[in-house]
Amino acid sequence: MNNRTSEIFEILSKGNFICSNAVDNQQRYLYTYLEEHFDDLEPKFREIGFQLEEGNNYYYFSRFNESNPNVESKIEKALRWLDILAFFTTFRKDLCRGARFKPLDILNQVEINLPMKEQLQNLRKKTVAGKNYQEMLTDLLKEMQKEGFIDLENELEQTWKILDSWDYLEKMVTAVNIQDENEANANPAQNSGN
Amino acid sequence: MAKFEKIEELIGELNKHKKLFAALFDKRMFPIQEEMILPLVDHDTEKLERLAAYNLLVRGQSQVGLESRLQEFFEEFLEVDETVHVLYIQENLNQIKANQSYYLKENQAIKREQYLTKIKKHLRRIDQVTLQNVKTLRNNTDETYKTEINFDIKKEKLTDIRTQRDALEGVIKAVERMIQDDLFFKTATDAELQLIIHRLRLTLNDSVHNLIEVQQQIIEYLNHIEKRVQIVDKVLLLKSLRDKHYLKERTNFYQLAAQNADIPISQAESFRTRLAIESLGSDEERQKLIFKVRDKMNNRKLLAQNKAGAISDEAFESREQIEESFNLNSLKQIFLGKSQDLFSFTMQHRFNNEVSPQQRIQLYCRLASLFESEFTFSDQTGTYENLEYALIYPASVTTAGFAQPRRND
Repeated sequence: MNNRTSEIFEILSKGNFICSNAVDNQQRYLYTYLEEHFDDLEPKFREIGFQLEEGNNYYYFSRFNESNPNVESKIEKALRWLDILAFFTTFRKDLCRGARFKPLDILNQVEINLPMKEQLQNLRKKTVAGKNYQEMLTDLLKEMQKEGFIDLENELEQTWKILDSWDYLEKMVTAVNIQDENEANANPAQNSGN
Repeated sequence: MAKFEKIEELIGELNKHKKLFAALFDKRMFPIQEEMILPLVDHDTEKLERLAAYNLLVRGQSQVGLESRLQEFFEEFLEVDETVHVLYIQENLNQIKANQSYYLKENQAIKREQYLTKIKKHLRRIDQVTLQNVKTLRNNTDETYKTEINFDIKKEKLTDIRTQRDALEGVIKAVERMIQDDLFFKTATDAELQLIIHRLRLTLNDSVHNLIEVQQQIIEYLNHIEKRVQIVDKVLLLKSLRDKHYLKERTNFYQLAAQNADIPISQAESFRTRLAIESLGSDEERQKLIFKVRDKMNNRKLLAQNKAGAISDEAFESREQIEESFNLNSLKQIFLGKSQDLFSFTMQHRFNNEVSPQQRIQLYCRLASLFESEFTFSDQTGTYENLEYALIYPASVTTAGFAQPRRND
């Protein structure tokens, strides 16, 4: 039983998720394993400073006493996630966990949808810049894959699947409170009217 | 427009072109090019014309399709109808009510019988149509939710299905009420009518249960969509705030992100572990790895410092030294085969190399002490120069037969 513990730790401590709908068999197995042994594993990880968190069909780690939190990088990351979420939402409104999409469809949209084109350009990382839209999108997808939010389900058909961890991003967004929401709602409309 | 005079003719015509109609029915969702179905009528466009004239199919601009009445007829019989016909049930219900009214007012037995037959027919129709409709509604619900990609259309379709469902439930309730409360049906004495009513009641009951389930399903789907809408709106709103640089001022987005202690948002932990010294030496795999790493090492400077100098030429010159030694054992064997005394043997034996008398005397002593047990030491002595030595013979030879040793030189 213990050998799984290290495997799980390896994944979660890197900031990844373990999802119930992972493409990889092994990961799916780890999810059920975690589900079954949650009560054993949770105290174990807590002892070494990691809180095993249970999301909606996924698991991840949190730290309960961070020694030196890098606030700036966290905010940067959260903002980037918001940008990414906005990009995918602009592409398809019903895109949520379990959904599948093809990069080609996104590219077709990018072609005709100017805001999407701009968003994709802005999402490009300065260091490893893809030259064309397709490369930019590939970079973006790989980044999301690495962070454990999506995975390539069918390489031949280039079908990507949105994993359960996507819910984490949405939870992050829904948790945000907007002050004087009405005003904030009204303002963009005003601005666009100008 | 041509018209069939007899049912046989219609059926005959359908039968004659059954393959064509089957093909048209299979492709009813899409426009069909005329050339695609030409092989089915032996490339005879006149046949198509004839069928169109009889209103069995519609032709227009090189496209053909099944006539809508025929299509509906097929769909209904094959139970693949994809539309929910609420009004159809309503129509039957109205017919029943009308015929019931005539029936009650009519005095002639034959005519009453005719009205009753019509009522039965409509009741049967309701029976058939209702369950089919419920099934269709159910399929449509699931299919819409699962396959409709366009988010807005999905929502609209589901709302429409909900309306249809409500209407269907209304009609079913109306039919139920009628056969429940109407004195005409309550007091029906006709055995066939009773049977039909009984069956219809079961069907309606079944349908209502199914409809309740469908309703729950639709509500669940719509709720889910509603939630999605909220998330989508929130994402887009936050994004627009971000783009306008309001995000920090107007929301707690930054605070939340800063407080967030989840590992995914933090920079990934990296653990530096060292290799255990013991395993470095013992494990063969590890050693291979060490060599591999060494091979890869780019730091040539360090390597250069570590390098030994050239090997001097001197190192290649061999300085062989041969130390001669006697094979004492084989010497002894030779001696044992002779009848000489040991001293004379060692002094006279021909060695491969030059051996000095001094060495020969040493050899004598060594042999004598090493193989003492195999030799016989006699009491007699011999002299060599100023040395006196014992006469030693192989053990197997008795001393008696031996004369005085010969003097060397």
